[in-house]
Amino acid sequence: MHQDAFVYTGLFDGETRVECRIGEGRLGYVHVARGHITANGHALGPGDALKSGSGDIALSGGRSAEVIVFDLPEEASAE
Amino acid sequence: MKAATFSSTELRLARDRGHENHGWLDSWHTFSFADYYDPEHMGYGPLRVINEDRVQETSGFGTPSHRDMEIITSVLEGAIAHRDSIGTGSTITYGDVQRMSAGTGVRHSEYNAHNGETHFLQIWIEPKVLGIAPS
Repeated sequence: MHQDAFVYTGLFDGETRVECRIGEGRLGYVHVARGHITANGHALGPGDALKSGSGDIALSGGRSAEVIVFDLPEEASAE
Repeated sequence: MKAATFSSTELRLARDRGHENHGWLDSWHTFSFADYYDPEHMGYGPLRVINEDRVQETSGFGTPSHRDMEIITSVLEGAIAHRDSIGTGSTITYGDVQRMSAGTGVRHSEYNAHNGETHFLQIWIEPKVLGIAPS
């Protein structure tokens, strides 16, 4: 990947709770590919997404959920 | 639980996305893409495209040409036959994630290689360096 971007995918079903650290100068983004999950207190379904800014992302309460988490640089400028 | 330090939480709900149904292809666009243009939804940082596509049996994309884009394909259901101008050919099925760096330019095709509808996500991330070799 020719960008300071990290892309994680996860399957969530049941009690699993995951906290993704994002941090200063970064942008967090969650896209629900399928199923249902709670992200930062918001109930998300298939195709829904959440922008967390530099805030961490807490995922819990997955129901057959397939989730993609992006940890992106704030600046997108090309060199 | 520690206090939340962010104030920029924003939802992008599925039903609010751009939607185009071409028959052979049903596509939902999280961000502006093709005929869907919304200046409020141009991307997020270098994340430029999330398309949720459903392609009918025996259909697919010809050989679109891309430059300077990191392209990630994730198949949710079915299978896609991928061929490109740098000699990569593979079938991507459920659970597979493929990354392609278009760099100075790649022509590629994606065809449904499945008896039935294929459902996949295509994600584009702008690279930080332009003009790299395709891979």
